[in-house]
Amino acid sequence: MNFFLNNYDKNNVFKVLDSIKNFLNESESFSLSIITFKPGDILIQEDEENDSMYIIMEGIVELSKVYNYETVIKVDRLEPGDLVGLLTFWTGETAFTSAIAKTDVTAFKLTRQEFEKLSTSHPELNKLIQPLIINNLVERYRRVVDLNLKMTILRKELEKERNQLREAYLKLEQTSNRLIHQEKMATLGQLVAGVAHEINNPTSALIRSIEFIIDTIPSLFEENVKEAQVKIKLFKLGLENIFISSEELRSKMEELEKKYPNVNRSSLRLLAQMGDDGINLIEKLLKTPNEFNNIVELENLLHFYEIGISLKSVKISSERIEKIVKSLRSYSKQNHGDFELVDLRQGIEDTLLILGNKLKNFDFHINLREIPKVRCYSGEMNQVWTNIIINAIDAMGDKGILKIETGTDEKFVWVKISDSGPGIPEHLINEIFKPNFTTKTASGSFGLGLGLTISNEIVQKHGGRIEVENLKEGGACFTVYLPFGNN
Amino acid sequence: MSKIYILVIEDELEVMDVIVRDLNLFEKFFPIETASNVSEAKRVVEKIYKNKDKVGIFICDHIMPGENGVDYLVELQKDKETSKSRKILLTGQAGLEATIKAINEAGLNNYISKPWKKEELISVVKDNLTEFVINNEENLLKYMSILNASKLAEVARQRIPLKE
Repeated sequence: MNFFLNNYDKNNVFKVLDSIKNFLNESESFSLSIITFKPGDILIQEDEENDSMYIIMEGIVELSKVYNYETVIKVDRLEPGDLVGLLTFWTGETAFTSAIAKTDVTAFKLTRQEFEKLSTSHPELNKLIQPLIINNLVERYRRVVDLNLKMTILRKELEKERNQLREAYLKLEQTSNRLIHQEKMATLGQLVAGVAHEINNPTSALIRSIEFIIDTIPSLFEENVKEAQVKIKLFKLGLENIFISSEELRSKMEELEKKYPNVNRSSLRLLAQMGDDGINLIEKLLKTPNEFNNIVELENLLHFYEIGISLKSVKISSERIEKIVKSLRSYSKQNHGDFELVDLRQGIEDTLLILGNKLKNFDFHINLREIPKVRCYSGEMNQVWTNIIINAIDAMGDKGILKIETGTDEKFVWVKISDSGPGIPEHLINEIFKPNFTTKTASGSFGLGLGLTISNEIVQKHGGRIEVENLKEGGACFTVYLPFGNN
Repeated sequence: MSKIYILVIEDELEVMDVIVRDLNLFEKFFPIETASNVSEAKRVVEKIYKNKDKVGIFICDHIMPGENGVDYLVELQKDKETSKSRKILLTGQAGLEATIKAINEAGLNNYISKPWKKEELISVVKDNLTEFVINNEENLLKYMSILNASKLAEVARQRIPLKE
């Protein structure tokens, strides 16, 4: 019989067991220790001495270990053919685990004394038992390897799940930030639309009234009186007034001061602004070439010119208000329902007007070529222009050149926005669209780190993309592509 | 006799026109000069002081093309001559940081926000010019008709015993 088995087979154990039994039966009257256990019975107690080895013949034995004084951890499950107490039996150390019957168990028990007795009286027996023990150990070792393998796999899965959890948490955080941002924009939009509406009413009244006044004033003067005609002309000169630069104004005033030393500065300023046509008119009327003797008369006449200037200022200013309000409304347009067909250039112009004051220090090279209309939410696209332009001017600091260009290729309309700032460090260029990426410090005005993330999402939602590059001549360039056509 | 100027720095000419008109009444004593950006203002200031004249009050916008108003006021404060001038911000938009800087580093005397009221502007300019002449002029009586007369009179009275 060959006991050194390549493939461990439990049945072999029984063969060995039978051999032992036979051997024992054939030999002197050795009472066979076949012991039965009930479920819950303890075969071996952890940390206690043990001098017996059991060979399970029927039933299930569970090995367990107490961890941290309270938790009982199941370590192994032993079946018929398995050996219990092998290690303690062999080494004489205290038990490493407890062995507890899980079911009704029948086991063959061999004490150390019996074993020693047997092996001296019947050395042949060793030959039978040794392979049994070795095979048992081999199987245990295999299980340990198996267990380690399983543990590693589990750990990897755990790690994976932990990463997924972390990602899910990050995503949740981003979504929440985005929702807050969307909600903010929506509220802002409503607010702006409301305010714009309120401003529109008084502005309309302002514009209509000023037009009426401008149209009516000339008819108030008597037609055939020469003085009245001059006053109307001065008034109209005022209406057509375009302010000259303060530099030019100063030099003209200095000139006029030499010519009319008795005229006060306020009148000189008006004369300088009015120019030669007006001065000639007044000189002719007052019949005082190259001098103004009657200052009161002069100031009186200049008042008509001033009224013209003022009315023109009112007109221009109210038109400016109208334009700003219009831009505000279209800028903050809420997206409802389907995409609209939009000329992107309008949104860019609105954005530039709204950002007005922020842009004063910068030079603009704006070249908005004719482009096909694009299906989009114009309000959302304005957020994109705003984010990119604000980033550009923040990058440039005090001054610089902002370039905006539009154009098309076969399928896409593109808008190129570039600045003359320091550009984006190469190692960050792939980071900028990631949420919470910002180079702006906490005190910065925007600095949520969501601007480009949201812009990118908006553009992707419209079937487009944003490309970023650093220009050779310095500065960063963002190109937004949006598809046009029927899709 | 050296003149005391009012210098208005404002980039929008329509707005400049209105400011100057609001301040017309001072012009008999305090000629108004205008500049539409800081670099122009610097040239004007140089010219004024070259003629041995002074700027009594700077009325300055904040956000303009080129250098901003607050930074310019800070520069003026560092100069021996213009540190004596009164400084006012007249602006629609100067953030908290800029305003703090103007107060701490430029000795800002007043902040007027756009849109302003004519009486408010006149009263602020009048008070500041009064302070300026008190601190920088010998003869206060000639300004009585245009500036804060009671204050000028009070100071003038106090000065008499000092000279004795």
